[in-house]
Amino acid sequence: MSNILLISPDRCRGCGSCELACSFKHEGEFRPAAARISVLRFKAGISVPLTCLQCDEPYCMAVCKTGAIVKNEVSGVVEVDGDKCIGCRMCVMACPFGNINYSIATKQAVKCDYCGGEPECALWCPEQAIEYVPQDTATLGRKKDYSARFARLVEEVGS
Amino acid sequence: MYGWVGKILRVDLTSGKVSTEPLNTSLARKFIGARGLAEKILRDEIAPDIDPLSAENKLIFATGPLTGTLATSGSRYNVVTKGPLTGTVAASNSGGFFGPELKYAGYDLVIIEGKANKPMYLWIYNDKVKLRCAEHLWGKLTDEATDLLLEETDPEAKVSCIGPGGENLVLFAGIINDKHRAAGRTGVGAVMGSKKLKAIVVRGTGGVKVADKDAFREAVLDARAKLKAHPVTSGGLPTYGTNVLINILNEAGSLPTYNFRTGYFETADKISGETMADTKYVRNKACTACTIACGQVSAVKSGPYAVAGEGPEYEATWAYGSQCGVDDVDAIIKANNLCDQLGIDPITMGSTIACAMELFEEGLIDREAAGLALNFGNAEAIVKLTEDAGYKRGLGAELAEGSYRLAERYGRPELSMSVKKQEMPAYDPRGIQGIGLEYATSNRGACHVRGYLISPEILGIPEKLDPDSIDEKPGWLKTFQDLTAALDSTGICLFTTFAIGAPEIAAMLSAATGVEYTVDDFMQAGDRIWNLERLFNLEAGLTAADDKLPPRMIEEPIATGPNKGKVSKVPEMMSKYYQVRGWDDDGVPTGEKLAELGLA
Amino acid sequence: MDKPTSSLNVDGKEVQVLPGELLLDVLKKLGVDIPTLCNHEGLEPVGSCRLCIVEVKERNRNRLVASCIYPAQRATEVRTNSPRVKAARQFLFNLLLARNGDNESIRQLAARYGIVRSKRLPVRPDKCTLCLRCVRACATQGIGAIGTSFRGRQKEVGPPFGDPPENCIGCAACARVCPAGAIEVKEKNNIREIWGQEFVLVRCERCGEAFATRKQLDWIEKELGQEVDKKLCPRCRQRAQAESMTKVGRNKREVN
Repeated sequence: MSNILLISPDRCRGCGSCELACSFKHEGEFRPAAARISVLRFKAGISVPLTCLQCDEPYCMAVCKTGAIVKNEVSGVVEVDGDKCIGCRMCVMACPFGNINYSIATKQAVKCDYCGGEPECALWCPEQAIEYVPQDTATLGRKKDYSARFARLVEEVGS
Repeated sequence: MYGWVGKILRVDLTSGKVSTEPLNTSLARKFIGARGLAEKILRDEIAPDIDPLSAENKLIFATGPLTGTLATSGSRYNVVTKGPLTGTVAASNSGGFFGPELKYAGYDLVIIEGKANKPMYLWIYNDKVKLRCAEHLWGKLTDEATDLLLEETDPEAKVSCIGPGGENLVLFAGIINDKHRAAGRTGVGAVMGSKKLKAIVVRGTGGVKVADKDAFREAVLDARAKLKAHPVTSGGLPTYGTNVLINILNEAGSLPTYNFRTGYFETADKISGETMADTKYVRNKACTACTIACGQVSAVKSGPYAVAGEGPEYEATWAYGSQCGVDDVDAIIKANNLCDQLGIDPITMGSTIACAMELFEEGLIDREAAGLALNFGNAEAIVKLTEDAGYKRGLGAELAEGSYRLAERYGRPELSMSVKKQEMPAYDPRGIQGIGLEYATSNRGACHVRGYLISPEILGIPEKLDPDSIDEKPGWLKTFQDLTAALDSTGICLFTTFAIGAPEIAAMLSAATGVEYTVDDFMQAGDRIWNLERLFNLEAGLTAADDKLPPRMIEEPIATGPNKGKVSKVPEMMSKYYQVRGWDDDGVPTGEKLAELGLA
Repeated sequence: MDKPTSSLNVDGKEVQVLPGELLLDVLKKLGVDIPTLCNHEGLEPVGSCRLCIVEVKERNRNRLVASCIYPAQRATEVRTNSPRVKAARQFLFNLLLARNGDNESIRQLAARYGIVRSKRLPVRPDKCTLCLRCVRACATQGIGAIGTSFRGRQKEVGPPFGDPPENCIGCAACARVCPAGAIEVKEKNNIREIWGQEFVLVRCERCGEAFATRKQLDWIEKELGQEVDKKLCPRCRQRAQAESMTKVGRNKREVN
């Protein structure tokens, strides 16, 4: 059974360690602007870390015609093969969550890849606001709970 | 370039010229960054005897090589200038997100020179740098100014700005970044105000590289584990904030009360961290890369002092609380929030109000001048006078110069609880001998965070020292001062030192920069920075005679509480301190010492 | 069942290759350094630039082939850096430099293989190398707005008859996939201009960023058979997502 990245915004204190760890792993430097996870900060100290949800039926994948985006059926990760990316940015526009980006520097789509099974953001989060946990009923329930809140918002925005 | 990003931004407000220059790497190695490096540049570029509020003064925003990395609590930047409150070198330190953003934009330091003829702000977007008009922002509180600036630049930018306090040249005005983080002490905000610079706004999309990625990762993981395992950094601070100290200091009989007439406050628990955690704190808020998250979002939900914001920190709670005899926690939170909004230092503000209260009770300030009765314990007064000082209204104009100038004006300078004209913080030096020596010798005027001997003397970290003993204190103080000077220069937070020390910090610094710092190198860099500051102050006209506490600390014993009857023995420790420092009897570094440190 | 492999000698080294495997892919796997220009992992190979040329032995006959379109199993031996290969490569680069010598990225590529522009050859200020990446990219997306017209020295890439292409959605993938930066995209106010055609850009309701062409969003909608967010840019979508999650109650201390 594969693991999922579970985010609990109520635990987040906004330190941004996840962004730093992510960019350190993928870009080799501390560069939050290039991180595949983002901490969005609000009033009264509220902050929310967000990254790719590794959807079961990813919109990004559906609009990618070169096969650069595939869902790894074993790990559950939606993977990008950067060499196959032609820069149409359809994936970026199709993702309802804004969780995939296009890098002008490397000319390819970039997104969370669970660091190949050892996500650095979860390792470095000092508050366990990001956890890499087995996909079971309890964790899926928590994930759904957050997604449901988001679904409501989509309805509001869409209407 | 590793750790450092290798570039200095120089902005001349007089001509409007903006330029960049490479970081001098050999200087960076010697003075590390932030506090140390900026002070070196300041001493090289200005005459130490200039008027701090003149165009000749410079204002340096400086990050360290660990700022903006994953290094434990690596969020800090320093503002370095000649301070208007003290006339000494001023280095004021702040966390949040501004410092790291400056590095992501590509700058280790920003040097501000000259004086604009109308209000301006500096907008930095990576290598695009612009001076923009700030007339519409002048007079705005820091909160509102920040929101407006984010709206007209980039919502993801970070803002460091002054409030009305700095604009009005309140001598203890601070600089506020990310709305509630402050480079608070020594009046750096007044220097910014004198230059008519309202704010620096920065957005950076670049990164910070480290020399040895694996070693850096190891070193940080090790340091983080120690922070997580330590009760202060993983329990006390996050749960109660720095206010955890109110009850501890009061029980130790060293919570200065009624303008240091005594060291014990009967109703201290009403303003304690425990009380605030139960009733006022909303949630924790961390600075960049911080595992401690001591920041407390707080709110007073109703009543005359209803307010939402952050803090107060322990020293502010003390200054407005026991120091003024006030135990109304709502008023304290409100007054502290006003300090953030106006951009002024709550320690000096609160203690200056306490001094005014004593002058009032002595019959030297009358009710009419103050606009209300200034008895100790008057909660309304701390809020009103803070606002008056920020806008220099009525008596506030006198308070805006700090307690020393205030007390002197009324013929009673000894009633100012200050050293080098900066107010002593929240630890009574009569009951804690080492911290008294720290106040007397701190290079930026009385200060607790240049050598926080409270850690061993009260908290027993790294080992328990008897607060009353004096023999070992000069040696301990030197070590703490050197360690802090070096640490402040790296860009990480002082609070990490409850759990980690020079070996852990030197390991992170070496791996980040690729420059091998042994523990001895690191401590010596601190010693070098301390001596550099001392030289600056001597050149600015200060002497050994300025290394002294207010006479009350020496002559008037603590009146009540566990430490009743005790006085400070700083004069007895001073010659030994000079000796330990390698200074002569006049407190001047010897040629030998300077040669050893490469400062000759 | 394992597919039958065959043996191939690459510069003296024996490797196993699978049916259908292209020679360039085999060489890349081995880490052989081969210049390429028209090749792109996401697109069907066409062998138009021929820079990936190598010498193969098939049925005792030696010949030069473009490795990107050559089935590896057909050969028994491959030489990637023989005198013949080097000479051919030099010739190809010289042709390329003659046509596109002003192009910095082409010059850099040639320089990596030690070839500098010959001063004797006249240079045309043409950016396009006719690698056809753009044409293939557009076709791969099922749009097919651009192709080639004319032949020989007049051959050029563009929309049919040089008219603004009707089915183009202005996604600009052609420009991003072009190795020579030959396709011009202009953006001004609410308009993106490409291939002589103007496209209306959609601005984010929140931050005002012009994040996509309207036609691009329509195309996505059609592909997905789902409505797509036409109001918020990706970054603001993320912020909106976070906002919905801020209704999470309080933090640990208060929960406990």
